[in-house]
Amino acid sequence: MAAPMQTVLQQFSRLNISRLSLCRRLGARELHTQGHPLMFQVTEVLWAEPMKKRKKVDPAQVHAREMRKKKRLERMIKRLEKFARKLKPIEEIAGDPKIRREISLRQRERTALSFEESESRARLHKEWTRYKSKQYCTESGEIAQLITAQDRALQALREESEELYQQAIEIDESLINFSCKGPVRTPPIENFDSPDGEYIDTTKTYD
Amino acid sequence: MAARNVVRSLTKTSHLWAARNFCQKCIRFCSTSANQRWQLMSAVCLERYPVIIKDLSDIESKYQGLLNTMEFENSLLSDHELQRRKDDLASEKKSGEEEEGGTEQRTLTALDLEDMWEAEAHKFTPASCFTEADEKNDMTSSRRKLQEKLILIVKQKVGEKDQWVLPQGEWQEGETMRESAERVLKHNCGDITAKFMGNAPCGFIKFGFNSKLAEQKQRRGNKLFFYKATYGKGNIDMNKNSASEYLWVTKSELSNYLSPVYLKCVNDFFFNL
Repeated sequence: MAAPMQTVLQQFSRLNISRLSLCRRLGARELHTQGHPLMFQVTEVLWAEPMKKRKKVDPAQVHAREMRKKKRLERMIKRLEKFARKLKPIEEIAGDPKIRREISLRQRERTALSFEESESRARLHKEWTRYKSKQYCTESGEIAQLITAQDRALQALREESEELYQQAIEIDESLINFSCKGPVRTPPIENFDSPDGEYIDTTKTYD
Repeated sequence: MAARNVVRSLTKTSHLWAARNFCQKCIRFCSTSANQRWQLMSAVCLERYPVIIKDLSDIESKYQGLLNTMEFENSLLSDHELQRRKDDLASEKKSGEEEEGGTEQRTLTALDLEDMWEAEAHKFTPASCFTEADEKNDMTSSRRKLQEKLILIVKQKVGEKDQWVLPQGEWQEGETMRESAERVLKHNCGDITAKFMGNAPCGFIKFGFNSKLAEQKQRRGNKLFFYKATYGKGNIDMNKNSASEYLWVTKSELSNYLSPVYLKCVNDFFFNL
């Protein structure tokens, strides 16, 4: 009996055997094997850890901690704002601050225009607009004449040869990006040795 | 009819490409057979643009003056003007003090600066608008009448007699009209830089031949296409074989040289804009 019992026990060795040492009991032959195996008790399966007991905290302390956190963030924001990327000032827009300060000093004394003067000025303005509109009319007429002359020439060329016409209406790529220097006030002096000025680099650098 | 048959047989043998070429030649031959075709010619309208601005007209100079005064009235005092005011005040004070016998301090005043600038400006003399060519009335120089637009005319043999025309020449097979205009210019005037304004002609004129000439030349007449070009630089080296003389003339002077029909055509595209 003893030997098979041993093997059974070996089989149950992973179980927690409670109350008494089995070995002692074995000798006394008090082991029940029928009905409830009273001697054996299996521990319950643990699916979770028991809740830890929460530490009680002082609400004033919590509040103080939050405030500290907030203050630290605010300080960081302030520092970021201070060292934020500054835009490069545009001199042309900002203007010279010195002139802005002196603007009252720089006013020119203005004399009121006499009636005749303002009348003659108004007349001159009107005369000028009439002159310009007349000039515009003649110029646009001349341009229209140029275009008709060209159209007639192209038509005449087409009557002779379609091939030559197609070549004539091709776009001249060399004229794209056309530039020319207009008339100047006085003619250029040949072999003129223009004097060099001083070179001062006034470009400001920003890091 | 025979030609058409040949063409048909050629297409049948599927030599399509050859057939097409042949066809084109036939068409060309057919149209040239009668003297119904025009002789194409290219001419160059070589312009020298104004170098200097024109004198202001009466109204222009008046209005310029008005704009200048208005700009002056609306302006603020400049640094130099402020300095001058300060100097004036200081000199007034000084003249009061001098009677008491104060020591003088010489500094550069605004007035001194103005004098200096004026002296410097006087040292420079701009080139005269009235050039040597104007003085001698040298019409072969492109340096004459700098305020006006000039056009190059040459005396060329047209038909039987010499005539003042824009440099012209016959179009040759295989070149575009513009290319022949470029060739004509180079042939007549030598090595000058000229910028051609596009591939399209700016004007044209046609002259019919009389019946005798038409028969002799197998052409109805000349169709002359004008190409505009802008003169750059370089001296004109006339080819004596093709043209005997050349002149740079303004629009108003053109009528002294060109025939009325020719002039009317040139006036359609040559403007002193």
